Amino acid sequence: MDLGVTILVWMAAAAGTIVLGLAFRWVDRLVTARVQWRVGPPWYQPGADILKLMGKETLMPTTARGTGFLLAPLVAVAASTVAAAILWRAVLSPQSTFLGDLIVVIYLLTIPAIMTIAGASASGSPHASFGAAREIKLLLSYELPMVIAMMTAVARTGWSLRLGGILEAQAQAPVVLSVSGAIAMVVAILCMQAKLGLVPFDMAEAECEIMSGVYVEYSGPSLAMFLVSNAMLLALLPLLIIVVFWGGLNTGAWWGWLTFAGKYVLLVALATLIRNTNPRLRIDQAVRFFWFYLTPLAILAAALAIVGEARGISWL
Amino acid sequence: MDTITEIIRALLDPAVLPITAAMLAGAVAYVLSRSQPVVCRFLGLIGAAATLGFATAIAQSPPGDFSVLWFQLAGDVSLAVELGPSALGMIVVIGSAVFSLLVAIYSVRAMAGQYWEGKFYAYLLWALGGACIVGLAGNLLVLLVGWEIVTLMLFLMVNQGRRDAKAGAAKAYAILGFADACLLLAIVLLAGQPGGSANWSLSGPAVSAGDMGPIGYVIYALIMVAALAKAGAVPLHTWVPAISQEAPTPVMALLPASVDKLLGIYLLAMLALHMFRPDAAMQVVMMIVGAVTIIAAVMMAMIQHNLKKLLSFHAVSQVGYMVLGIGTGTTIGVVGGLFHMINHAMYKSELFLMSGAVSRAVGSDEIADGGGLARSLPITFTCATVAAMAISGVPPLNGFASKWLVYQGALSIPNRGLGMVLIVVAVFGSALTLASFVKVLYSAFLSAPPKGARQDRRPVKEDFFLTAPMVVLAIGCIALGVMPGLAIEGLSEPAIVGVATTGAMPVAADGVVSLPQGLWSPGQATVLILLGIGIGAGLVWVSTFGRKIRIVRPFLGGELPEPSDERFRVPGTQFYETIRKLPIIGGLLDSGEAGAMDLYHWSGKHGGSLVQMLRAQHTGLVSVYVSWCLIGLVVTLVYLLLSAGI
Repeated sequence: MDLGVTILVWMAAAAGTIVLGLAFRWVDRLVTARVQWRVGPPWYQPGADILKLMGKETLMPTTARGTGFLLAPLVAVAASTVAAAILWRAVLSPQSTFLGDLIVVIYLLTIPAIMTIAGASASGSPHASFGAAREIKLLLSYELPMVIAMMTAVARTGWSLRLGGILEAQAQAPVVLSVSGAIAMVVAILCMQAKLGLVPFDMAEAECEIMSGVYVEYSGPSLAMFLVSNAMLLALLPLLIIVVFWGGLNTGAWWGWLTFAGKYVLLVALATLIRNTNPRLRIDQAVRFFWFYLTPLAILAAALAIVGEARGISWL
Repeated sequence: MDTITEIIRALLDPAVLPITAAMLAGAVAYVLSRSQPVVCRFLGLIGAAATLGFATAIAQSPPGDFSVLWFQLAGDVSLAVELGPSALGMIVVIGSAVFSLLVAIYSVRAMAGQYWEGKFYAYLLWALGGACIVGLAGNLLVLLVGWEIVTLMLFLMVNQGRRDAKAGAAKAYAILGFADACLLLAIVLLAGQPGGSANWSLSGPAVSAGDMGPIGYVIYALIMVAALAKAGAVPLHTWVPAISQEAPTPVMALLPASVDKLLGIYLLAMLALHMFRPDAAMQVVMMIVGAVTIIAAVMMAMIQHNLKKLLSFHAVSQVGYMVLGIGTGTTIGVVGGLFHMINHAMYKSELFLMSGAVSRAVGSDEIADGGGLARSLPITFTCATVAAMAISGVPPLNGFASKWLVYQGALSIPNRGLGMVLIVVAVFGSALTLASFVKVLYSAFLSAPPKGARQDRRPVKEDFFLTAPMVVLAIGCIALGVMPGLAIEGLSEPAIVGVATTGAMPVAADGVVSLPQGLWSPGQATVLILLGIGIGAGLVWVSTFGRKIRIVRPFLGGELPEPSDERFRVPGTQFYETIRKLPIIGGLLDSGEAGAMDLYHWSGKHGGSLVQMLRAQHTGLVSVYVSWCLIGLVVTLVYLLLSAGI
């Protein structure tokens, strides 16, 4: 595929993901408001927030390293857009994906977190430093169960690291319709919650404790860029889970798009529900949770998947 | 007279020229080391550049093999000096020459005024000469000579380091000497097999280790031990952290970070591709060694408080990816492992050079003493960030390109379950790598400097000689990341030929083996990322048009602290205390610190008790000694009589 077409695909995927992400942000805020007996914002509120921030001036603390501080949010958005292009292309035309793109997507989706850490470190604020230290520990803790869960799906789909191959193998039955697949998907959903920085895993931001931690010194357009990047993750991570565990988009039937949208909204609503019904964990509690509870669970899923695959037991 | 002309002719043979250049320049530098250290600097630069030039000439138009019979032992065993340039070997030679040149440039400033400055360049050139011998060697015996030279130079250079350098140097020499002894033993055993010295060839097709019977496995294991110790894989890795703190930075950047990796992995590749066809069990052993190395060393690295020690643990951890890649025995995995060898040499040597620049500025290697250097050393900071991202495998840098190939290789081994475990370990290892480099970059460059550091710190500036090598290496990391095809093409030929001969890959009907199609094209992704940053920056610029960035005080809840107020400084060394306090993992880390993974430590401990037992027999009574002698004599006699068949 030549570069022109690639750029077009990329721009469409990026724009679509941003719009979708902001829409999901609205869903998230609306459900939260309803849980708290409030009316909630109108549908355009997340977009309006971004536009408002874009019009504000940029503030930079005296302690900051300017280039890194201002570049970090841009890199975060740029990496998310590339991940969006790869994922959407896999959803819409599974044949055209390249070898090992699952690994590429997993790595690209860590870049926003890395850039949050980099920007926070570059701001020179002690609050941000605490936030950065928590964010990197959180990244370490969820990465392990997340990768094991993904590999479980890889085991169930004929050992392919290609998103297209994973989707094609799920044409009959999605991964989640097996014991190992279901366990792995639960693990992946909890990891998604941490990757999105939502309660109970929002210790890196912790508004009332370290004053938004990693974002404390960000304002105006730079903050807007981080919000865009977060909104994109809100659209991309459920999409990744749908692709890897839940069969992706089944366009063969007329209800394909409908079920796809249903899965999507269900995952986002689930994340919102978890965030509204749980208190924030401490970072050490989060590390223990992911390493000592979720990781063994994920290993169990992986072991079941390998046994199932070796013995030809499709439900295991 | 004839012999002298013959020797001169041999030394000027195009295949020998790189070795001659390095060795000769080193010898001249050694002679002049006391009186003319400044001349030695130039000799170092010129010698490395000349070696690089001659090596490039060989790579472009390979001369015929060079062979001189030195000594014909009985039967089929002959000692011959054989040099045969191979594609992989030339990568080792050229790589070593490039790193030597860069380190020589760096040392112009870093080693200036050291009492042994002249000798340093001599040792550097000799080490380069040794590496050239290894890369060009046509048989194992020649390889061993170069191998030994590099070990010796490492010892000599580390020995000149600071305060307690001698203990570390001795440890390194003990472990590497043990490795060399293993290699020598393997050579002797090989000569005793049918075929004699023909078994030493490094260019022939691989044979099955089982063909030689059990001894084949012993030989295989011995050579593997030698290669892994040189490269620094668990459990023979401990010499790298042991020398890291006291050895001069250029030495660390040259040998353990780059050249030793090239040599160790080269021998491992030669072993697996050209000497013995590894069977499934051997591959599994190799892959498990790789995975354990990745995870054990990176966990240790994360909790280090000394910058150089931290880097040295990463130098160990990254070897795991190379060993894992070669262990898979698949084309894509082997290419990935070899590619990772080149990439690692680039970013790790950059990071060691960075650590040297930081400790020059701060006057200490302790991470806690750093801070605030991003302002005074912006270029060093930028290069270090690139290298740190590359080693953590952030796309689209070179570390990602090679790790990605290794993952592909790991998934295509027959034992899928094992492949899956390996991938999880490798991916998690790179997350841990990222974590420890977040700590380094934050503490050294971004955090506020510690109290009291401001007054006695010299004002630091970027220095051309220190910065230029780092910039070159950082650009290399980006270039190989964006265009991995450059290296993969060069590497796939030896790897494919090797793997095809080992029979690990199904060969197509026409005998052509190629890499799978549809590889990840980082070029496009890079264009997209850059475009994304550009569009984002454009949007930000448009929306803030006409307004300046306002510089404000950081928000501290209304506090107005003094610049030196320690309460408002968050040291990076505390980042991972949470993990150290975890059950199980914390305990493992503590025992790791105490030397639980250290074979040298263990052998020292148990060797000590063995010596005590032997010492207890030394009673000083002549009659006891005489009886021991008699017993020995009787045993020898009985053995001789029995073996003579009487």
